[in-house]
Amino acid sequence: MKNKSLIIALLLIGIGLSAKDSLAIKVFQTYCWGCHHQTAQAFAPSFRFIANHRTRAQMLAQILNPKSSYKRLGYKINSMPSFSDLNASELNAIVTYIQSFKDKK
Amino acid sequence: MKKILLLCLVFIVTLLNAQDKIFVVERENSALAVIEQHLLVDTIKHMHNFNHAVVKFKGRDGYVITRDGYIIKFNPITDKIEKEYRTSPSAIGFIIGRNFVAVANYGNKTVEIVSRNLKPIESIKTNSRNVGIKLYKNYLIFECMDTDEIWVMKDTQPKARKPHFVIYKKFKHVGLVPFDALIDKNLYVSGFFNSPFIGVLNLRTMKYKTVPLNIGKRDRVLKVPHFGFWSVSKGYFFIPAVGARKVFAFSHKFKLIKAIDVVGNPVFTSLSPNKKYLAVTFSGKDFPRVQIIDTKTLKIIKNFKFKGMVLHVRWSTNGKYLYVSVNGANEVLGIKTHGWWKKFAWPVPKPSGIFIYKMKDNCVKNF
Repeated sequence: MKNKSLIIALLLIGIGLSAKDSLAIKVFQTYCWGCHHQTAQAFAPSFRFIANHRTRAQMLAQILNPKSSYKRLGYKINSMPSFSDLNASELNAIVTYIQSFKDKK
Repeated sequence: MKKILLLCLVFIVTLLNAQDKIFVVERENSALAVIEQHLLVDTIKHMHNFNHAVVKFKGRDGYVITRDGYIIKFNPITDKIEKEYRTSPSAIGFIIGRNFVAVANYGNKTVEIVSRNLKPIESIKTNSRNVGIKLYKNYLIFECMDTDEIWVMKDTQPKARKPHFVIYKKFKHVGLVPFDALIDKNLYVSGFFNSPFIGVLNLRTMKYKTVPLNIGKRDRVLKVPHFGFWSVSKGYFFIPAVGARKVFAFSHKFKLIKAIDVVGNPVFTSLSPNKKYLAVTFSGKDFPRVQIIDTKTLKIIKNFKFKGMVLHVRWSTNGKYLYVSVNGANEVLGIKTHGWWKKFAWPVPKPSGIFIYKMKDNCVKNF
């Protein structure tokens, strides 16, 4: 009985994680990939650069209100639009996805 | 005499049957799909990061640049990779000269000059990401995206075995965030991501001017538009707007003729070989759409909605087909332009750029 509960719990966690990953990919492909690449500099910085140089709070601020945030990140000009219409799940998913590109030490 | 006649016959038959060879970027597979006689015949693999790969040809040489900064030389007749060289961690565009290839890099903030066999010649340090690289006579022109400049470099030894480029002229404060350029004869036309105008540099007089664009209220931009020679007809320059659902049609003296309303934010605007039609692709929620504009009336005559994101379109050399990369549906479609119906589909995984090698021109050279 205990084993069955454990298996069900693991399966649910697995499904949850997989759903989160696919939400992250969906947000990335809908909104981000035109300007950002995961590992190489494109029109915008790569997710690897962002993950290695920004905190979670900085990432959220830049996604939600780049007009207010860009100077604090050291940019002279802002080209990024606001994505304040993303809901909490989408924001969480994309920031977690960005963070996954942080270099492992 | 009989032998000469036979040779002539073989030549004529070969010439008549030599068709376009089509190379399609498989964006996620680091590969080029090869299409001949409307059949998928080969794949050239192991070509590094193919997100935003660009292919060009000169004579019997094919070149590709990759997202992670490689320039790859391949034979477009045998489909074999001949050489590769990494110019930086991230490349965006390139141009092929008589005796060199110039690669515009994001990474390293340089423009790298290499030989046609990919041996490094010189490195131009700009302190910026570099875009819109073009050639005009013995000048190399490009934009510095991070410093808002246009650089004109001169080859001081154009007849030598190797070029040597020096700065000829720098244009500063040209506009905010130049992102691409097109060139038509002596006119270099710049697009700016954050300025409501285009820049026009006359390479004969070296005079620069700006031409205003009435963008209106700006939309959220999800993908940067692309400029190219494919948007220039005898009568017009077609310029995709940044952050507006418009394609601007300018005369060659840069008088605005019309701001054509389109369904979404345009990315590519591409003229048919006979210049009768302009195909427009889009981004965001309108990614699956393509619109066709009649270049005489400047009106939309056809609307397509495909099964997934459209990343690129290319007209066949004879204008009979419009090839469409439907990345979201893993196929490249051939749309017959007489009637605008789907004639065939090639199963290419995650396709993006479509590039045509004109076999006819090179079959003539082979003789």
